[in-house]
Amino acid sequence: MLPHSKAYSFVTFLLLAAAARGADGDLSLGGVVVNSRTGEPVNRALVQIVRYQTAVSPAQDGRPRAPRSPLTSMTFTDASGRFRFDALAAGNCLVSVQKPQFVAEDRGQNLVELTASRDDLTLKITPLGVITGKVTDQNGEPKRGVNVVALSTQIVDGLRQTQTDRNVTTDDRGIYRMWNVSPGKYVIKAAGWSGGTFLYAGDSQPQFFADESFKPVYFGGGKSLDSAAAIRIEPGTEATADVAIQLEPAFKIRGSLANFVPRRTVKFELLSGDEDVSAGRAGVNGDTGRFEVQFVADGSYIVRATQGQTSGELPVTVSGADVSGVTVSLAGSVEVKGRVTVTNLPPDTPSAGRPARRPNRQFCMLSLYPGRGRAGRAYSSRPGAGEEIAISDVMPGVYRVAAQCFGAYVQSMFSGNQDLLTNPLLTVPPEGTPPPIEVIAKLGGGAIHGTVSFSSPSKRPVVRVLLAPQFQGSTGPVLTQAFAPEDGSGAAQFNAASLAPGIYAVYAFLDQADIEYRNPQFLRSLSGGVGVQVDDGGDKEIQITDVIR
Amino acid sequence: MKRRSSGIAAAALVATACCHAADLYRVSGVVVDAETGAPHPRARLAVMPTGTPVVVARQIAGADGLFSFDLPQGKYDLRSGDSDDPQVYGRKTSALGLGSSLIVGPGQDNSKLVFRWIPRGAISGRIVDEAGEPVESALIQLVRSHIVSGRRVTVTAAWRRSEDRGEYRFGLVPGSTYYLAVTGTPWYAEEPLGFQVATPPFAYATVYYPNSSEPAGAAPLVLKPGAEVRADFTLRTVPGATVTVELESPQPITGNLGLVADGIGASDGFERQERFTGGRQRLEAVPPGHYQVRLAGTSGETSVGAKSTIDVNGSGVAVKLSPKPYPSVGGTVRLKNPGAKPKGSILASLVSEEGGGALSTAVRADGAFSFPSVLPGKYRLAIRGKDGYFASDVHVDGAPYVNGVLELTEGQAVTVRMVASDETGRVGGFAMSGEQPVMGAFAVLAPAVETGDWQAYHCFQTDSDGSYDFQNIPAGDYLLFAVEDLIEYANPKAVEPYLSSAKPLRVEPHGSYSERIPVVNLAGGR
Repeated sequence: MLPHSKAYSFVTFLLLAAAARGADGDLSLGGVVVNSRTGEPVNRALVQIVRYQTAVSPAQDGRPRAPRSPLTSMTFTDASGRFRFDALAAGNCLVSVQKPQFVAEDRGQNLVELTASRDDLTLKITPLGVITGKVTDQNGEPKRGVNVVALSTQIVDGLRQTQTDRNVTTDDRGIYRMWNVSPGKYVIKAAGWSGGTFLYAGDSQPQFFADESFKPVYFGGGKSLDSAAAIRIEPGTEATADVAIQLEPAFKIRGSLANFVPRRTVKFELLSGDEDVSAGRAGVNGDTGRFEVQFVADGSYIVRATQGQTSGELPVTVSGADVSGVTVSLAGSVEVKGRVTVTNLPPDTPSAGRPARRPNRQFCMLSLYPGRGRAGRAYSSRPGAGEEIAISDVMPGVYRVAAQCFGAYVQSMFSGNQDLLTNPLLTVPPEGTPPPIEVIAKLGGGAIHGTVSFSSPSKRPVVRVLLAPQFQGSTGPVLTQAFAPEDGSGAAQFNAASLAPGIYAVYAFLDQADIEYRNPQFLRSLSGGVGVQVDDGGDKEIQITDVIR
Repeated sequence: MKRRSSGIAAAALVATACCHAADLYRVSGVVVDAETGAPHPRARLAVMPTGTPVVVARQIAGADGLFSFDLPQGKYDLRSGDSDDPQVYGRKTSALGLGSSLIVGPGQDNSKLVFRWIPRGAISGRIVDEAGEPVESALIQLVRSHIVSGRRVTVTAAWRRSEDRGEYRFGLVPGSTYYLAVTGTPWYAEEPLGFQVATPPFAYATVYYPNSSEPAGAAPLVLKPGAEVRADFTLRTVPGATVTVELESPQPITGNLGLVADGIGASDGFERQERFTGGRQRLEAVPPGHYQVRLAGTSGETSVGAKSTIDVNGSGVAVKLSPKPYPSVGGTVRLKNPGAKPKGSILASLVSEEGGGALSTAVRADGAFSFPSVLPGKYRLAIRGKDGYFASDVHVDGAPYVNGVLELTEGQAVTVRMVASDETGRVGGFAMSGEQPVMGAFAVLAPAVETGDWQAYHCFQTDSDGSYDFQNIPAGDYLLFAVEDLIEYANPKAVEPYLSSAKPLRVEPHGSYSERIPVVNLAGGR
């Protein structure tokens, strides 16, 4: 083992040796790495330069040859944040910097054209954030083993979906810590007890003190996502989010798994509304598939079990007592079939140089999104034979069906008797497939184009235009981007085609990311839209001067 | 562990599922911190009939630690705590499975119980590099040396990763003897931007508490109950090497690829573990040392594994692995006495020889059982179940089976034939100090002929009336004695001093015996 000072010098030596190995000239490149938030120099950041050697052979006509292998050099910054590379040849250098708990700006790469020695390069790295806190019960006692999650939301196909960014467990002091958190807005939730699912053998499973649990609660005390207090993490900040849980009697859900494969691991989840609850502990008899989910507070849940590529769900209500005798059927994925029929197509008369008409199925694409507001796997259709389309590997569950057509608009979409334009939530049952999705689309549709007048201080304003149908029986609002001049003023241009005929309210948004255009509540909150009547085959021009910021 | 007064009023009955008969007996006392003697406020208590998982009474002790139950006559376990830290009344150590049951009934005074709550401690610390900067994601291994099923074992108790400040913490740690080892990879040793680093990769040398580079130099860290100890480490950089792993013949395997070094005691020292997705894989920045490369994964539906031993001395090493399916174990269990049908399930078990953990599966009605895929290692075969059957005869084909130890390696298909016998007896009685029965003493039943099979040794911590009750003891010759403190009762060397004064006992099938035995106060181990 190397002594302390020699070991550290050893690392520095190796890095300098790397630099020296790349020696190919007499120029130097230096600079400083700073914290983008504080401006302070950053010690022991790793700076790397990559350059390609080229050579000009006097035997040739003076044109440079193709680049050879890249030359890489690295060094650490010193206590003043400074770095320096010597013995470099003129040419382009790709300079990057990294350090744990920081992210580099400009995706970490700076292209420097080295024509003379310079010592003025400034590289900025942005510190990541930390969220920490303590979970206590109503008596102020710290609670260990609580599953704490950081949720962020994103808009997917016009609806807000939550995703779990972090998932940690409180320690014996009730403390949790999340680090390397990117700047953004988060909601912290004490989701349940941690514990997982275990397999046991024999007649009875090990018993634990499973008599207390709690309903999920958010930082700020809210019981739902809408009422939660969001935390904004800026670069390098540490936010504290203590959560108080209310312990209440806990019960068990007992039952059995149908189609269980013995001795293979199983995972249990409890979903409550649009959010999941951690299943604190679940025991499964490894031979028979009998299970017991523990630590369940009063409430209505969906119990979901997943074993390998199979899963199953069942609604269960717990009210003051254990629930026994439930059966969750595990089933594999299925293929959801569909058919697209496009009407009003011109006759197919292929001739030399003109392609045959493309199949109907290629006009429209179907997608299945998680139906409960949580982030989860989405599925998209692929073409099948003839007018058939198929969505493969769909796990049992509830999904929101979305259709997108190109050059056509959807007139109707049914699965059996269910009108998917009115109620887009489709249930894929275990051990079965839903009725095929029948889509009837019509070629053409109407169009709206126009301009959005605005002024914005930002360098690259993002202008979006929302076209909200004011009638039933369509695939819903359409969000499109308007292309704005880079100087931040003037008029942005937009165009939307293949619209179902009807009246639309058109809105423009400036630099807004959270446009929940499929949320009825969001739509009702909008005002100032421009009303437009769209006719099949028509094209309306409008001007929007009122933007929503 | 610190305690504070919560100001809570008298104990509240949370739930009661029994106790409406006329003949109820008072069980009351106080929960105290075993180290300080101070009341342990708001302790959660549960009462279960011994041998059953059913809770018949619950209570939360008051701020003064007092509790009180009224129970019908019977034998009960009194437990306190929660699912992660349950403690049993009468337990003197943190060894699992021990404690004293309460004998409730006429003539039994259980009104002044002292439930000694053994506090848990913590081991924490900070990992830095030679420059004093925190090391994130260092891997800290906590190894515990303690008595499990009568044997002293030194096995991994827990793992942690250091966080962004280099801090780690093992909380709720029972008082015991521990060892710590830390490994990690310098963050700058990973290939930045995907370009190959032109210099040898850097690695951190593994360090063992307090500051040794070899397992032999690891010193124990003795943690007293309830104490908090800091153990900081500095990781030093050494030249690393690349270990290239590929399969002898390509096959689709996904799983984990691990580098395991000799650890402390029987524990493995993990250098690292990465996902393996098939093909050729490089493990970068491996510090010098002697390792076993282990692959564990699945090929289709089959669990497969492979191992190879390598030495890394700063130069690259190439390894070729030939994955084979994990060993399977299957067979039959025949009842020695077919006329006596078991009331519950009979379980076939593979009991790990190293750590004592067991895999069990129910024997089917036709007597067959199977473990389709078992982690390679050394196991003892056993029959388990509520009816007390034991394996009186074992035959093994397909794997080495020496002195009752089955050695499983990849690629084996092992067949086992066992005979399940109900020829057991019962040995009970009292552990005495003079004329007084002693609660909480340890009665030991050792086979008269020394054996390396630790399952043949039995221990019972006497109940509140000083009684012990060994049930389902396989017929045979034994030596019976009692000690005040827990010893390595399955270690022939540890029990030897007690054998000369032990009571010889022959247990006949279905026999029942009652013996009063003195508690011997020789210096014992814990």
